[in-house]
Amino acid sequence: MRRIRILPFLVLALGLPGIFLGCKRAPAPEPSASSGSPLTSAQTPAAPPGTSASGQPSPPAIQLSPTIPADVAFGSTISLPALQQDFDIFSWNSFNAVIWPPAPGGGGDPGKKPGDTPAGDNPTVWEGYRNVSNVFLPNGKTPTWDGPVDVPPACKPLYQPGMKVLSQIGKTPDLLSETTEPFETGPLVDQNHQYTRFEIVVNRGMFDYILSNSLYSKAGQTTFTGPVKFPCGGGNQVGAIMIKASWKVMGAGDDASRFHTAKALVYTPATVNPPVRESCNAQTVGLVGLHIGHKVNSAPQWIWSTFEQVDNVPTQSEVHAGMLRSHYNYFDPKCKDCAVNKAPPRPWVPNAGTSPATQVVRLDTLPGFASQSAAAQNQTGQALLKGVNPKSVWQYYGLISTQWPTDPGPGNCTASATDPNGNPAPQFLANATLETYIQGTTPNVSSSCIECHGNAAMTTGAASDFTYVLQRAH
Amino acid sequence: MSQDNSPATRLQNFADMSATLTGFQSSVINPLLDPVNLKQLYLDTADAKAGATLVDQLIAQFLSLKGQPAQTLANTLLATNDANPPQTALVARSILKLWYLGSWYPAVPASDPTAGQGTVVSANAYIGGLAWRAAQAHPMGSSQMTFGYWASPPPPLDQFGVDTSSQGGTHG
Repeated sequence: MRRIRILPFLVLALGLPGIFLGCKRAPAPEPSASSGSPLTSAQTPAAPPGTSASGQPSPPAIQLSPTIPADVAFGSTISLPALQQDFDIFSWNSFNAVIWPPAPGGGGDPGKKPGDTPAGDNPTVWEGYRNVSNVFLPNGKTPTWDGPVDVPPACKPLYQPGMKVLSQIGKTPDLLSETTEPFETGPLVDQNHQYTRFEIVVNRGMFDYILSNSLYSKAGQTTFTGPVKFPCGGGNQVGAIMIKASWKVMGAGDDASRFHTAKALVYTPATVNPPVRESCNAQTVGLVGLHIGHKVNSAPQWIWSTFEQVDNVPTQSEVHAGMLRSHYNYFDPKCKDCAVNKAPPRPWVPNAGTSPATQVVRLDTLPGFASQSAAAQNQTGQALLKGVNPKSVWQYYGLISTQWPTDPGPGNCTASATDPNGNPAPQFLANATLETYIQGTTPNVSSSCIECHGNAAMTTGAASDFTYVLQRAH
Repeated sequence: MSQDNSPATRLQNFADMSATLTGFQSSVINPLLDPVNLKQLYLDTADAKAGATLVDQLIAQFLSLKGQPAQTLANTLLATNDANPPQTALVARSILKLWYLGSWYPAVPASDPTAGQGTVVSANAYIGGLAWRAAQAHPMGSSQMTFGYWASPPPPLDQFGVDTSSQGGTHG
């Protein structure tokens, strides 16, 4: 029996099963090493909006809309480069929607646009999502979507409603969480010797699934009988969304007009080893990294879109070519003997302000089809945001890439039983602020969103559908 | 009739031949979307280790026999009943081992002292070895399965991409 695996998301999207069953397949285009920064420069001419690389009509290009795309809109060309473009457009449209100024109900306000203020900045939709520290409460208490925010006692005198609370190294070192990111490999320290801070938030759909299935507590997870299956986006229904953000404390050398900033309480809990005193300071923080994970019908493995502020780091090839700027958030161009992509030496004391700055370089691990697509979509996306307001801070953010499953499974929001990760493309993807020390191309070692999250389990040891947040339950 | 030996066609023929040799579905050997692209790595490895001329001879033999039942075709290419297999069959055996084990073994008779000296060609080749699929398992140190999979029986063999029909590996 001849058997050809069909990609259900493409068949559904295109209505073209004959493409798979009747045509002679062309070999997949060859990947090539990337070189320049995907954040700012297009390496090859981009296909004009509305067309695919083959010149055929393609679905929606990047647009300014407060509507979060529920799934990917596919063009008619089936190849890694063409589909990467489709997924990257999805990423940009998702980014535009989650950075949109929020309406009172929580969604994007259609009467406003991102960056359309005198300062070029705005509060965002995603910052209204629920921080996981307010979902997995002490003693397994039932969370609420819009209830009070968990504020550490040391921060309470400084807290004002709406303020962000950012933590640092916690007491759960064996737990992958925003407090210990980037992973267990060490903290990320900026050029002003300040630790980078992290947070994870979930959208209403993901929150409601956790709540309705009592997955917010260990007790609830223990009695949960089914497989964890977060809702997939499709049609008019947005699926489960999880956003992970990295923030730097704004300081000397930082141009605030190039950052989305927020007032935050930067909290450092006390620890005994190493000795760290508890502290809480009100700071202005600037967004430096943003992961958006969205589970959709086309990708039960979720779609992983990762963005960075454009001044973060140079690429490997830019360093080799000596094409360096005078300032980066996480790279000192004057330092010739700084160890690259190495965590600072212990002890790690987040609030000492004396830790050596991390020297970070973005390794050129993306295949050509991915880096070229990101560069092309960044050109379009950044121009759109600049068009809203030449002062918009959002023009200074760019897509690194989007990781997606090339073999998502049999459909119906279900992954393959034998390859639940769905053979992701690109094979590796890292955000320099979130996976700083695990960049590379070694399978199961180097950063791959889907491969890593495919290992996630909740507190019972049962698989948790590509998210580690359920491990936070008490 | 002149044979199209463009790199793309040559790669396609190599993939088709590999499906026949291994008994795996083409969707495993040559997926429609292939971000890892082991087939190209394996063709390049075979060219470098055995020589492109021998590889081309093997592919030509495969093409000349195409249409036969896959198992018969594989037996012929591998010279399974031949005590003194031709050089092309030794190359076919090395390619077969490459797909299953992710390692290149020299294309020499089994009696040769170097016959067992395999070299893993890449990390992707190691984790992509078909032996893991045939065992309904995963390589040590790298699992594509979800956490806790070991508590349930593995899915059937054909879901791992093994062609379980009587015809052996599919091609074309």
